Amino acid sequence: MNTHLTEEQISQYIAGYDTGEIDGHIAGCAQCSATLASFENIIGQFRGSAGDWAGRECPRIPDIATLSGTFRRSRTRSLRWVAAVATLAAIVAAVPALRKPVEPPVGELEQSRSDEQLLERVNAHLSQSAPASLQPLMEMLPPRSDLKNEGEIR
Amino acid sequence: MQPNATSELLVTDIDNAPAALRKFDEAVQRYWQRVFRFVLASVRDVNEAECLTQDCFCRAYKAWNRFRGDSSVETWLMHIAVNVVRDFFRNRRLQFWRRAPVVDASEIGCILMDRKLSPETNAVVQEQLRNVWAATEILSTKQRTVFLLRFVDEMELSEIAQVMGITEGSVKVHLFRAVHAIRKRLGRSQ
Repeated sequence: MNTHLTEEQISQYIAGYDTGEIDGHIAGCAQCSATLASFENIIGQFRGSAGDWAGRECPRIPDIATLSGTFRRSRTRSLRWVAAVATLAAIVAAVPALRKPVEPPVGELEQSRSDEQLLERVNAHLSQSAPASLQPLMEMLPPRSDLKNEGEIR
Repeated sequence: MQPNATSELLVTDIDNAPAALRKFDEAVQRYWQRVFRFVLASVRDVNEAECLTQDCFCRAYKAWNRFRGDSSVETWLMHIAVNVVRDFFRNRRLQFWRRAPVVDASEIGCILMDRKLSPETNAVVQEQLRNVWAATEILSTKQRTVFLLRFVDEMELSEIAQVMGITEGSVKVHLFRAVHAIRKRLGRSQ
């Protein structure tokens, strides 16, 4: 039968769970108290190493003049950022209003007009229902709407 | 917790009162090292620890006139330090592209080499220390904070509860989990 404290019970004891039962056992058990002492020793070394490391790396403690200057600078710096962002936003908002509509040059305008006229002429030519040689005959016929009404042509 | 002698540092308006500024300076001189040690053990990066310690005192400077003296200046500063470290890790999680600040545990352990120990004892201690530092790395932020406050800063459970803004029962739970994880790790390595 295991008469010693379990791993969990020892961890509970170290964590500060106050149980008289564990307390009493540790007082009378050499093995469990040795386990506890061993952990406490390691933790002591850990504390020492953390302290040594911080002591070695800790920069010189700044005096209040330096420190308050840094704090004020950081505050001014953040205000400067806000001002910069606001200015940029104002510029971005103002740019479309300041921009004038761009007109194409005169030469380009004339070219596009003549292109349009040419396209219209081509369209008119293509939409003719008979070739040019038959055109006089086509003119002798009544309009298409009249023919439809009479039912002669579908 | 009862306000102790450090509560004398209580002031009302730091911007306009030279006396208040002097008292803040006293707090800086007295607690800078301690805050730095806690922050360094938490983040394990000297440059980050310097920045965060300065950030901690910057927050204290700005809030100095709101400090009511319900706790000691020391407890109040540690409360700010815990929040600064928590925010740091929270931001780290969001900045997933940045590598976590990891210092080789052996680098920290080497500091003890200066002490007068036999080579064999030194080797054993180094190994154990490496394991403890490595184990604290896998703890959650809360567990690590409780562990460091208890065993590095040697704070009472009630003080830790006050510093972290949680109940004493919660402190015990976090501490139990931290201790158990570390002991497991130490047990495996032996």
